[in-house]
Amino acid sequence: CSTITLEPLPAGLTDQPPASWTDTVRQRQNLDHWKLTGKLAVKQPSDSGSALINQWVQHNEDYDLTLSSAFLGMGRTRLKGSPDFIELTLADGERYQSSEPDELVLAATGWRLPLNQLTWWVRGLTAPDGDYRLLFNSTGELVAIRQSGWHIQYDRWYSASPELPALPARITATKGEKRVRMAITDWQPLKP
Amino acid sequence: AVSDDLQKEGLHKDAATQLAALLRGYQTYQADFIQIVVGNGGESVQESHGSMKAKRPGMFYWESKAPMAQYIVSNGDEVSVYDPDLEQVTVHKLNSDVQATPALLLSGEVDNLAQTYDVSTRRMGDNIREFTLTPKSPDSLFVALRMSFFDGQLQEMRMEDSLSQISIMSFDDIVLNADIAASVFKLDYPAGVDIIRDGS
Repeated sequence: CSTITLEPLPAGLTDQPPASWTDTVRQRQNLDHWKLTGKLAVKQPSDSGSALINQWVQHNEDYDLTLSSAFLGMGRTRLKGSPDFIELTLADGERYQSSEPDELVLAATGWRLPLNQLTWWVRGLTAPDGDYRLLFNSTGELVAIRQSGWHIQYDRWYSASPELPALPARITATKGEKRVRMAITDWQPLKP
Repeated sequence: AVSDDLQKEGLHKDAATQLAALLRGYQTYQADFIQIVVGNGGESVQESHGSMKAKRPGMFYWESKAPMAQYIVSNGDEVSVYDPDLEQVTVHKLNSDVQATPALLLSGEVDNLAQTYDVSTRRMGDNIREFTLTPKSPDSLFVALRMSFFDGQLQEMRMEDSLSQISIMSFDDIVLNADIAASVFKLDYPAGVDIIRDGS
């Protein structure tokens, strides 16, 4: 795999995957039809805020994400699309489309949301493109991914059922002064 | 009960004045709530439950339980939203746009209802009265809010947004006009939580 400049490892962490890592990755990759609910907080110098993730439905590369204001679940924003297309519908019903999802989300909501990569990071996987580095703790659990200038910390894990791999319950992605935090309250596999 | 004042007040008054009179009778309001958000396809998208307290002027305490754990508190000046999962508190001024949210109808200013909403009302049977509020400003959180009162007690708030999704807030164990100390409307949260002030 590609190497990136190796900063010293934080204490107690290793970038050597445990023996089970390839199985874990395969299990998580096999989860390619799923739905999650939870909460999202974006903190950045220009505009911080939080929202409820009413639902994030993913079928392979296609996402359908509905956010609503934390208060009373009103004021819905919907992000629907694929890595190279997005249709964004704001609370007031205005609808925008673009071939640059991250740019449109930034322009319309003021939030820097690495949506395409988040669909991988949120499952504890690295995104397909971009150098990366993995950090594990002594028990072989994934602690963080470093990719595309982002540091994605896996704060808590969620293991709902035996046939589901352990999935993140809370992740915190930081890049410079930008921070995206997601708390996932429910994971559900979906039929294709 | 409160609804008698409505009769004395004379039904000939327009709906906004009747609703304002009714809400002004609520010095404090507290209840447990169940909130169901229904998508435009009729599928239930989100459910939460919890309890709330409201006190004039402008104070409310809103606690929704896990999995959507969240505390929203207004002391009449600032609104703080504490999310234990996100370990984050956002604080913003209790300014006009937030005033538009229904919770503030229970604790905020109701004299200018007619300027902010078109209000209609109808009686259903002999003890249910409904008020429907349609915001005059286009960029409100909802396109229609229906408040249903049973014998003068607010039982339900039903909001519809521009994606024709509906949020139904049903209240239970309602206590009207009990005295609630102002200190209740203070949010406490553990140290080390991120505090984000709007516009900071």
